[in-house]
Amino acid sequence: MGDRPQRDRRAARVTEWILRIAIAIGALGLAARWLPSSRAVAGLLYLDHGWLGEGAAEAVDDGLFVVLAAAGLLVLRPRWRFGLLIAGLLALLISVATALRDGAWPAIVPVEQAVRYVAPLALWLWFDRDGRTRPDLDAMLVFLLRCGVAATFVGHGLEALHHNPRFLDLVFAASRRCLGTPIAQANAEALLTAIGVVDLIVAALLVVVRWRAVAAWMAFWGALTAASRMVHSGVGAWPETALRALNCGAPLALVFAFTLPRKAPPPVGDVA
Amino acid sequence: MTAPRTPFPIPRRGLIGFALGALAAVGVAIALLAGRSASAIAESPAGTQPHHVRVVWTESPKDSATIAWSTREPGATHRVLLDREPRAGDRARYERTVVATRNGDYARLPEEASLAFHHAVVDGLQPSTTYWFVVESDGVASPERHFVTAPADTRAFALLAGSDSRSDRAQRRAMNGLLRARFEADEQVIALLHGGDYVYDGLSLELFAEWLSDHELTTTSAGRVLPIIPTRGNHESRGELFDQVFGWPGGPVGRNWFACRLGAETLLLVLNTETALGGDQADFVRDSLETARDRRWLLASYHQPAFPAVKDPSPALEHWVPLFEEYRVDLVVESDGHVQKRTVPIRGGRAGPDGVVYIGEGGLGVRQRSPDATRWFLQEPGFARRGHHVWRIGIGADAIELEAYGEDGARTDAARISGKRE
Repeated sequence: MGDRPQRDRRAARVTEWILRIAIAIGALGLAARWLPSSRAVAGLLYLDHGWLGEGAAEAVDDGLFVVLAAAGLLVLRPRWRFGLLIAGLLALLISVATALRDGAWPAIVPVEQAVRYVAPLALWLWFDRDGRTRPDLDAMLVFLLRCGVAATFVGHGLEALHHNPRFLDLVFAASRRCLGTPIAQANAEALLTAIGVVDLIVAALLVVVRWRAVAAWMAFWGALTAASRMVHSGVGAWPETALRALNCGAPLALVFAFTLPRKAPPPVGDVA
Repeated sequence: MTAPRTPFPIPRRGLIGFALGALAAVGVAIALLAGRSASAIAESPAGTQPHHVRVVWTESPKDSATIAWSTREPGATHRVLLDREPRAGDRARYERTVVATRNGDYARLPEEASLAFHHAVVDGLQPSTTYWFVVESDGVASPERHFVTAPADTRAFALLAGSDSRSDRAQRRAMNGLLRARFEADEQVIALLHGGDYVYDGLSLELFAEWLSDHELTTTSAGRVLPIIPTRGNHESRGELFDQVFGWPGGPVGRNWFACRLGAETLLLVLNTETALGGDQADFVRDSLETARDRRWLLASYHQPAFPAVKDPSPALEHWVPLFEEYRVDLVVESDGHVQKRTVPIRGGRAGPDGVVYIGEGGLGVRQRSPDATRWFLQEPGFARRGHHVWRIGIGADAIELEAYGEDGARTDAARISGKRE
């Protein structure tokens, strides 16, 4: 009977470190992509609204980049929570800034990027002040991760059903480079429709049932789709793959987190 | 005995702080999206007085053009009166009448006033010919204007090229003044190739109405209209306003790509980076270039750059650049970066003497960025600078002459591209 708490805390540690590593990789990928090209915050401040001059707006972006990169590294420090909070808040800020500048479907951006800010927050909340995971908050962690991962799959699933042009281009490139044969647009669109349906189904399953197989499939699919960015654009597109680390890491963490008890253990010292 | 723990205890301060931050972000988003000054449509002439008159070129400008205009009220009958001689607006004397076959209300945001569009597709024109016209809605006519069709022979001509007008009206109007000045001073200029991003929010009719009013500033003092060859940009996104303004160039939303034949020897591919670049569109690029092997000059225009001076490469690098190099395209006009740039000739991912030159990247009004001068394709003989600009692309017998002009009218860059094909 004493083995169960030990197994649970081992599973908790594995869950914690999968998330830490994925958050760190995601933060570094986001910083690496953000600074040279995306500059969503600078675009908002300077180009779109002229609130700041170009230099000042880019200085804000540069500062946020440094903070984000530092947070990504700090996430790996055991028992440190602060980096998680910063990484999560900056991921949320970038998501909102990107949505404000996205003409096609702005509302979907925070949904499909949900895991990037929900996972760090969930991990931050899971720790006590000494940086140890709290068994009484295991259920909260699992709940938040399920929501974040499900939202991300819902967002991507809806984009796939709408035949997002960028998704189509990924399919074209993958077919040409991996299978050695081009795929007709009609077939690529049909494939995206099927992918979208599957994404929505697994998102619903993740919320409704605690099946490790579903989480494992989502981890596999998250890794595959993240890697597709480098298949499409080459090794230089590694930030696009890295910033999607949580698309794989969060459901993978759930594979282990699903073994944690559903209910909080009784407080130590209570006598029935 | 320890104090009992509350179920699902969460650090309250942290959650409250996060929730407040999220609410603030949403509030900022709503404020930004809601804040918009509304005046352009209200300033439009009342009733069915035609305004926003424009000429749009797509596949065959030597013998076809779309003449488009707007009216406040939808009206019932809309037509273009056309002649090869000026008629001073005497509608009874025009030799030809073309009915506007596409009429409707522009798409708009819920809080915006309505405005109607009208398109008349005029076919059977003679190349290199001046056509004088008035547009008429429910009996109310515009002042007489004229335009010149594209050539069908090998005579030299020029295009003005630019993009990213966006929504700084003062700056955009200044650049339109520069366009008019170049158009008036240069007999060879036949059209404006616009690379997209006409306004900040392509779903806003108010903003597009402002753009349409400002675009009329490119008409010369003598009433000559500068035809426009339109490209869809990311700020037009996948909205229908772009099609309603420019007459569904190249097809409905999701397409908007076409091959424009200019003169006897020039093919210009106008492509759409706001839809899938592979698949059908890549097939179109390949097929068009394959059937144009007899053309001396091959050009392409699209919005998001493959060789950007600031941003990351768009999927055009993966899906189109290999085709451009296979078929030895001469010049590609790119946009979106808000800088002025001209790359070295590029082939196989490096500088090469018979490579493809890429120019751009959007200086018709939007705030300009500083280019990343360390990028290999911008090193000499390439060039990049920060500043509003318009390109002049001169197509001649032996070479393409490139010139860029800053907002003060001074020339900021010049280059020459020699022919790759006999």
